[in-house]
Amino acid sequence: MDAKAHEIRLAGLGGQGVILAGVLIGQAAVLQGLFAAGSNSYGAQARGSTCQAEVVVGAEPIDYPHVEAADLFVAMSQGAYDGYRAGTAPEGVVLYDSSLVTPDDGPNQHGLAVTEVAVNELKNKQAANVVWVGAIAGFTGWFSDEVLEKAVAENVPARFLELNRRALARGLALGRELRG
Amino acid sequence: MARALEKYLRPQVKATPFCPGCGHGVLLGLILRAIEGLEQEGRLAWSEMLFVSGIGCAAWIPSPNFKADTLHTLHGRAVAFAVGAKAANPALKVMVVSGDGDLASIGGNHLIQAARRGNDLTVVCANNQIYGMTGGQVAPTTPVNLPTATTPGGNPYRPFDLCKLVEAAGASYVARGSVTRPYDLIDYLSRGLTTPGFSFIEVLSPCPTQFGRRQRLDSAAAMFDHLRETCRYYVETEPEAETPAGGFLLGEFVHGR
Amino acid sequence: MPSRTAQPLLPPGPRYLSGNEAAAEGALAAGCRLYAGYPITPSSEIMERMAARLPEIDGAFLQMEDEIASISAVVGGSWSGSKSMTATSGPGLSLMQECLGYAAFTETPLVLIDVQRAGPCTGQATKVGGGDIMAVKYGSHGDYQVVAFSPWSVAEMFSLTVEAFNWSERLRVPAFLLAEEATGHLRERVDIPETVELYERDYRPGEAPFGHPEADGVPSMPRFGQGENLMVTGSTHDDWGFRKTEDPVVQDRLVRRLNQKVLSRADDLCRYEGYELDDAELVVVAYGFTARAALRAVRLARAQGVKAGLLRLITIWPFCSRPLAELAGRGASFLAPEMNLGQVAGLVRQAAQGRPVHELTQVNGRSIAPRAILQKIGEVL
Repeated sequence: MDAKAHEIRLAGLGGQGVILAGVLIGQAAVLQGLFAAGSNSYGAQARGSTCQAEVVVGAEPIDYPHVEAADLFVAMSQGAYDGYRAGTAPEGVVLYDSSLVTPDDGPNQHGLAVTEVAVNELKNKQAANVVWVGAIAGFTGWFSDEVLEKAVAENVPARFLELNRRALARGLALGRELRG
Repeated sequence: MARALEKYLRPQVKATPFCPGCGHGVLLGLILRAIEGLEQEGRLAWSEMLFVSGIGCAAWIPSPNFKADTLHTLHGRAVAFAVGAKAANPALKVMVVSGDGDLASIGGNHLIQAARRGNDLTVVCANNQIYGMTGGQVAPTTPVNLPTATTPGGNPYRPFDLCKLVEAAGASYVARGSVTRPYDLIDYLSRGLTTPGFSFIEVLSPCPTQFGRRQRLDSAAAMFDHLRETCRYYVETEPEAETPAGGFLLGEFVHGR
Repeated sequence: MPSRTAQPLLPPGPRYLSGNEAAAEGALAAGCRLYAGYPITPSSEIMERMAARLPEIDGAFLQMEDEIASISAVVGGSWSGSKSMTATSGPGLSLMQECLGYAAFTETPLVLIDVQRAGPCTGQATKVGGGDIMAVKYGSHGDYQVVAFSPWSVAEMFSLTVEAFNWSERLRVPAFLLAEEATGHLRERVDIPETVELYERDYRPGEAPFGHPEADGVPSMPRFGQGENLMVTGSTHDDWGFRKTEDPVVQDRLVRRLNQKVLSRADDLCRYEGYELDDAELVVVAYGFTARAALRAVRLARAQGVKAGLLRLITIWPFCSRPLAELAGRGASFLAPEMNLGQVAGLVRQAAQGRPVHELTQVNGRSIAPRAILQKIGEVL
């Protein structure tokens, strides 16, 4: 990872697991020995309508912990895309769910078939958020597989652990493929 | 007061601060007699006692008179302070002594919530049916129609039946006594102290200064007579029997649950 | 001074915690063994963590019927010998004020974490605010002192909670962690230390528990059940706790000592940090979450060649005038960005010896962005 702090925003519908995805990214960063600061929608906002999680990840202690202009924006729904697209930095990268979001014609935007993978391969739509965590990890290359597994294991109920491990692995593959 | 009880009193305190004819001095002595009896039976040690009180005349019963740990708190909050003190040191035997205005008006929610939770406390409510210290204003225990400093045309509201209130809230031991029947009260205080959970003893204690003169019971003796005449004993087989007008039902209403 | 080294309950090393979680862990590391509280946003996660953690270590957790009962139970618990705390926000702080005065007047150690939200009144319960600066110091009636620290990170939610306990026990005074929603809900890396230094309450048998021969002395702190036959009272009292509600000398001496015992130690209590201050012509004076935006703004300003610096106040009460006076003496001017209408700016002005003090106030339930501070720096220079 380079010296600058990287600002990530994840947004989607309340109930899609956006907040957990943000926690997993932050926790993976800390387990990796990096610095991370995360904040998210809170209360009623997190349970309905559009919901977002921010994580700032860096190799050095983070001065200002909120996202000012996202270097990486993950849109898990059309509403989230429309609401937060403008908050992306000029050179920022946008990753969106290719079956749920129709993007504008701006640069640096990539669709990933995350919901499709969750529904068709994992047979559980709720696993999409962990697929996204894998995709972000695969795309950035910041975290070891071991650290990601540990972050997931500490934050999801045991009965869903196997499902989420598979979700993570599929996401990592999607992200790495995109990174090339 | 009997010399034998002096061991429980701070030697620096020479007299109680109560008005002539006030029942609180009698109650002070009865609490000590109940504890002395339990100590003699080996069921309690004075050194375990913590006395917590609020604000008002009755709050001065333990503080500073009792030679024990005493916590003289804010108006209405004695029960809440007591809950914290007991939680931090469960070995303490915690007795709250305060008045009806303190425990049932400003502190009413703390009283019923502690009864609901079953906090292991013995709460003694000295009920004089009026705000004594502040000058005779209406209390939530004042009888209907009684003129007070803030109801010059007579109190338009019904009083709480404090025993029914804490019984409904779940108290483990509930009794009402009167300082005119001291031996019964010693029994109630003893049983309250030895029943696990939330114990509540309401003590009718005359206030000649503020309550008596508004009822045209100007002398302490007249107040004691009135109390004696208007109280009836609770009989479990006739729980709904009428009490005399302005009077009270005395007895034990809940004996441990 | 009875201090000792202790290990936090969490194993040492980096963790990713929310500010509220870190505050609870800091309290446990400091030896807190009684929590009494009432749920209120945005502080509830502190209470929830204590509810889970205290039973593991034989501590007492009490969910009380309201905030008045909560702080009352904390005072009771403290006198029974437990390091005790509560946490609240906005309206809950208002309800606690009478008993806060009781704690100050009876010299009861306790810690109160105020996670500030946008007020007044119910305001915006889930949104950030910083309007309690004066309320924690002046909200109860009469003259008294508190100690208050303002954390700017999750790491400080942990470490300053430990500090708050230490000062509370050392001075027998209520101590605040004056946090903000943005830090309480922030998740961040916090490195749990191997050990923490703790101050344990100082019980000197036989000494008066409510008085001291020195005008700023801190009396011995006994507890219930030790055979001291304590008389704790919120009425004016002599050195042993006897009520003295008519005596002007006792009243005067007590009130002055309770204030002096904190104020005479203001230099020890005063904690702050400076960034880029050496040649700063404009000093941004900031605290809490706003200081993080200010730090970024100062760095951006420096990158543009602007001689700006940051003075970050960590101690809010007693207020640290000395560093401000020194900077003013060097000819600096000041800018105070705050999530209130200038509560600290007024204190800065008192210390600034007539040098200009500019304000950037924001009370819209949002934290102040670095750009807003940078723009203001440009305007005032």
